[in-house]
Amino acid sequence: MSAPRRPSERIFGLLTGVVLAIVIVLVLSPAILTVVLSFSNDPSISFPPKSWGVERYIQLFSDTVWLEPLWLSVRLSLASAALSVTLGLGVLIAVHRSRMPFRNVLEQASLIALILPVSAYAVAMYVVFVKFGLLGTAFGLILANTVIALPFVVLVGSVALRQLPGDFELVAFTLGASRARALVGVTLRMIVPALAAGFVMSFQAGFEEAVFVNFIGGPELKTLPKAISDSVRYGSDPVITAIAASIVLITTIGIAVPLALSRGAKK
Amino acid sequence: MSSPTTTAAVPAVELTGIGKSFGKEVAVRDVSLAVAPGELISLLGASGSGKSTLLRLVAGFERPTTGSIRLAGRDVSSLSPADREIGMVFQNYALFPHLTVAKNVEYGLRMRGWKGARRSERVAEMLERMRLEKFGSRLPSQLSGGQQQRVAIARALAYSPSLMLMDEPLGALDKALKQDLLLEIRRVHREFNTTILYVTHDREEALTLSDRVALMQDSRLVTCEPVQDLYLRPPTAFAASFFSGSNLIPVTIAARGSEIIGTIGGLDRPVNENALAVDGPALAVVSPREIRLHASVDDWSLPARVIDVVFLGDDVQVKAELVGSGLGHVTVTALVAHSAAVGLSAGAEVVLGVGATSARFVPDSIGAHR
Repeated sequence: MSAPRRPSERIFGLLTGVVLAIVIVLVLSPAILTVVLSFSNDPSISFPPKSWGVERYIQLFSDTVWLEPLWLSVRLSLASAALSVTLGLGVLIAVHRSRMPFRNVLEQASLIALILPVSAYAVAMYVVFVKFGLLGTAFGLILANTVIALPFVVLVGSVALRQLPGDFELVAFTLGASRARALVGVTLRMIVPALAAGFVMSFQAGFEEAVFVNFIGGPELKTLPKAISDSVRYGSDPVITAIAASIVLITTIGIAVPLALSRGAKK
Repeated sequence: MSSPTTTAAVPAVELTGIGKSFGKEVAVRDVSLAVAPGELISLLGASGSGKSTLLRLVAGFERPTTGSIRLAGRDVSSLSPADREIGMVFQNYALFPHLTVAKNVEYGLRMRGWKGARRSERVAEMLERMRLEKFGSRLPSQLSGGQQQRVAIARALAYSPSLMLMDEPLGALDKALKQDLLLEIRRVHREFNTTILYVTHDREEALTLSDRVALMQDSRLVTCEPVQDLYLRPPTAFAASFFSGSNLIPVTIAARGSEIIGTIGGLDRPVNENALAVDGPALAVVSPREIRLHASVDDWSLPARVIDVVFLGDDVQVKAELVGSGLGHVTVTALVAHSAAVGLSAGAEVVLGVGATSARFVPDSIGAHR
């Protein structure tokens, strides 16, 4: 039951509803469109689809043209996500649990990748990679992706650590825990959901990375985003709609599961 | 409450000249205090009085700038909290949310290297003694506030530390629950016979629990006395107003022949010999129950204007401002039976009877005489 409202309030409420609807449509429609288009059997991408089916998914999972880049992307992204969580953990401990000088500068520095224009960054990286012979190597690409992914781990981890009362570690001390055991067994244990979320976001950042790979990937490293952009450049293979739809689904799960986990942990 | 003997026993806690500064800010100034084994001492003070810092120094979270800390005769000033053999209960209990109740209780035993069988035996014993048998496999978030406190105490006492520190463990609770938990803490103190340092800003808690109360003000330890002495015979103006809730009325003391005379508002009344200690301008400490709405012969009879009348059930609290000559803006609080206050309301002119023979006297440390 709602109280009677004045006309101005009613107009305001109506406007809010309209804006909300527009935002939802804008945000969701690409994802929904992608999924809709992926279930078309048309020979080329067109809207609205004239025929329906799962032909594109069959093609995707039977064709090494797509499976190989997919597998490469997964491996590279897992590696860069693991590396960025490891590095991020070091940054988090130094920033929040040490008295190291300039530890705030360290935190800011680890977030630089967020504000630098990616293409400028990629050019600089290219020059450096030439110098060290990392061009076209998997290790080089993992390093580059780690730099992009690190801010996610640091940001999510910092929020979690700031919300964590310091009393937990202190009480562990009084119970006989050493500094290291209290840090690992209590503090880090309690931010595991945040670190998991950081890992997923890092993985995703690496998985979607389409700029660096063009600069420093060379001809050997054909990641999924590279394969997609190549296919679009030389005519458009409709299979990419199935790939995109799959990514939408996987990403949704990848974000929703850690979120649900961290909610559960807080309760 | 049994008052522990002080003969020759090594103090459970011995603080000598403890001081702590954070940069230029002094948080604790020259505190010396000895706590007998088995005693429960409240560190009572307003926020910012240094009581929490003092507790953190004893726990080992901070290093003292000056002085030394001995626990059971052992100098622990430079030891880490883990090596001090203490248990601590925090304000919000700080139960590990990812561990079950049993695992929380077990944590300290595990850290101290107890073997598996002995550990689970001790956990079961602690759960039973804290009436938590049914909750061993629950998570802390599934417990009520009172149960959480019991888990925190069980965890702190599991390996039988000689000293338990409690940092305002009832600070965030409502009054009804508070009363139950106070009784629980009394029971734990009695049954485990642990020495307890209990930080609080609530004098009711200090009254209910303490063997002795260590009163802190402006980073200093004002006094540490048995709870009844401090309540009935507060040594300073601060102790009288903060702990006893007494009224402070400017008085002038003088010996006249064999009598000691206290003068308030031009009225001379004979007073008890406690007044001898504070010859000259001083403060009379008068409990709210010793202020009446009808003066008797022995009372100082002081004209006053009623500011507020509050019905408290059995009693009526009357706040009034003394309007007699030379009494500035002294506000007093009286507790009277409600039959005596019928029809009384704010603004009324009354003559208050202030008991002279039962009054105590302290130096005018707050400058009421100017």
